[in-house]
Amino acid sequence: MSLPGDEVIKLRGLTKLYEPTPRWMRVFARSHMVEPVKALDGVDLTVRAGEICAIVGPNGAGKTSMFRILVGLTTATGGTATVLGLDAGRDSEQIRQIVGWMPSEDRSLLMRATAKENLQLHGRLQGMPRRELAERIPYVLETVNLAAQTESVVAGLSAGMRARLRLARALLPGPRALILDEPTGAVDPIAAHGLLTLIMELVKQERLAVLISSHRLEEIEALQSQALLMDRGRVRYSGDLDSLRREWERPEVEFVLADPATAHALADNLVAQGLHAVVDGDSVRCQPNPHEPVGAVLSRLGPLTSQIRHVREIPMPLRDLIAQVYERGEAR
Amino acid sequence: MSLAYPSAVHRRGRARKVLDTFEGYIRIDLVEERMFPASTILRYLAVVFPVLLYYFQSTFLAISDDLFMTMLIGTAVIAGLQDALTGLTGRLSFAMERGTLETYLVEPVPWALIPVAMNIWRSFTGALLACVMVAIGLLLGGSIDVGAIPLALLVLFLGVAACNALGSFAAAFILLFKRGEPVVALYSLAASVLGGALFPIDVLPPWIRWASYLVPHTYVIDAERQLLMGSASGGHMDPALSIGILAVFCVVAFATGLFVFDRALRLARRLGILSI
Ligand SMILES: Nc1ncnc2c1ncn2[C@@H]1O[C@H](COP(=O)(O)OP(=O)(O)O)[C@@H](O)[C@H]1O
Ligand SMILES: [Mg+2]
Repeated sequence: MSLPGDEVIKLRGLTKLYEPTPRWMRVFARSHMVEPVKALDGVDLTVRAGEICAIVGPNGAGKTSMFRILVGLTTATGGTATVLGLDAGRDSEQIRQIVGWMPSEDRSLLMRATAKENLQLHGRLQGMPRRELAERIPYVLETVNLAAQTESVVAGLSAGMRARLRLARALLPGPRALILDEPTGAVDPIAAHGLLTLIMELVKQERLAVLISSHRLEEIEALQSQALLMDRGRVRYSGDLDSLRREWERPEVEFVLADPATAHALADNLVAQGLHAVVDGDSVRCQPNPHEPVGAVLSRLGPLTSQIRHVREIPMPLRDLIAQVYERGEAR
Repeated sequence: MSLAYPSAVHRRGRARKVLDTFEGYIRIDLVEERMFPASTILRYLAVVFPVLLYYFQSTFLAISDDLFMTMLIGTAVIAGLQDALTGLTGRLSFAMERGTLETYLVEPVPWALIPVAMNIWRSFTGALLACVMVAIGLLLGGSIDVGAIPLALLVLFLGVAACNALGSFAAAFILLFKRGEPVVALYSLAASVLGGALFPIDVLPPWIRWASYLVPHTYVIDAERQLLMGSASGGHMDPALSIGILAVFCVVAFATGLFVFDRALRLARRLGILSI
């Protein structure tokens, strides 16, 4: 198994409290907030070399704040964040040399420069030798499938292309750790799948440590990784993504029938099976028992099965999943 | 798939970092210049008009032959230092609004280099602009002491450096309060009066004149006039003294300016207002 020396990203009791600007500053400019906000509350996390950790949580969970502390764009109020033993507060400059950061916003790109110029700037500031840079730029652009856009001005690229360019920029200098803030948000599902596969390949080959955030579980479907479920700055679940997903993949099932009468008949049958069913017009919703496939429910419906026009699976909203995971945690 | 993944983390010394940073930032400016080629040309064309303005005004006033060069050198210095003074604040607020400031900040180079690196190209082109103005004046029949040009350039350089240092105070202000252009614009207008852009500062009443000695423009204009025009300049400070004062001003202002900028950056970082 992995040795403790493999630890790349390590958070211990990481806490961040955003406070309104001090009174003397408000003479010149209004404060950007009214009440203090606890964006992170005692977060523990370890990512080893060759490991991916997905940070999943709704908007405002604190994902971006965690990443910004790691790359030094803000400081922690409590706890520690280290990358390869370097402290995020003190050794920020060294950390920035070994971490590739993909911010969630397009705003971080130089809009009037071309894709290549954006990468050139980053590469030079990272200290990449000219020769290496000249070879590496076409390679990373090819990797993210942007070779044709090398000389295109960023302002003219689509949102998905810009996301891929941000990823290319993070990969360019060959970092030891990658921090990707909602990388798949603006990318189409097929490209998103491609991006995640690419990242997983890199992780395997280069033994990178990767932090990746998402506010939608279905977006990171392709990922094999650890997961940290967060809500309002606190960790709600920490374990592997697959078990979290199994939880989440117990979707509600909706049956659409020809008319309300049949719908009621079907609902009665479901209730007889011991399931909870709700009729809405000509459709019925029910939640299959845990560990029971939908097929098992269908097979018990008898002749009614042929009356079903559509079967739809409705994934559990992330909020409900968090609530559920949390409740179970409390009960334990 | 052949792997072009860099095998090791890039290590480099301090000096290398400084060079890389300056090169990187100048590259951004060149990209911008290339993006809007005509605007660069227009900037240089535009300065023909103030030169003509002072040329015809001094012809009209017909007080002395030296009036034109006195006004021209003063105006050229003010114009040349303008970019050094305001360039950084302009660039910084643009980067903050656009969100690119964070892109610069996550690069592994010292933050204290940013004020200078962001303004180095603008400062250079500003100084060039001043030279172009004087050159146009020469074409119109003005004359200068050619032998004094190297020293005059040194004075201009010191002036640019001093204004960069002042600019980093303004930049610190902008980091925290987001709007600082009015402050800088005010200072820059005041400097053209106090520095004596169109007249020797003995014209000013004594109760204002003491303030003249606080702005670097005064020393730059006075020294440039004496160096380039000799005794006809109406200046009264020994250029060597001006150069000495400017040099001290640069060192002190840079040290405190960068310190204040660094402090402001840290506070903004802690508060999370770097890109708001
Ligand atoms: N710069 C900031 N100043 C004040 N509050 C902030 C700032 N950035 C984030 N927050 C607050 O911190 C919380 C977490 O935000 P964030 O880390 O961006 O979450 P996420 O990326 O998971 O959506 C939110 O309540 C947000 O309002
Ligand atoms: Mg976010």
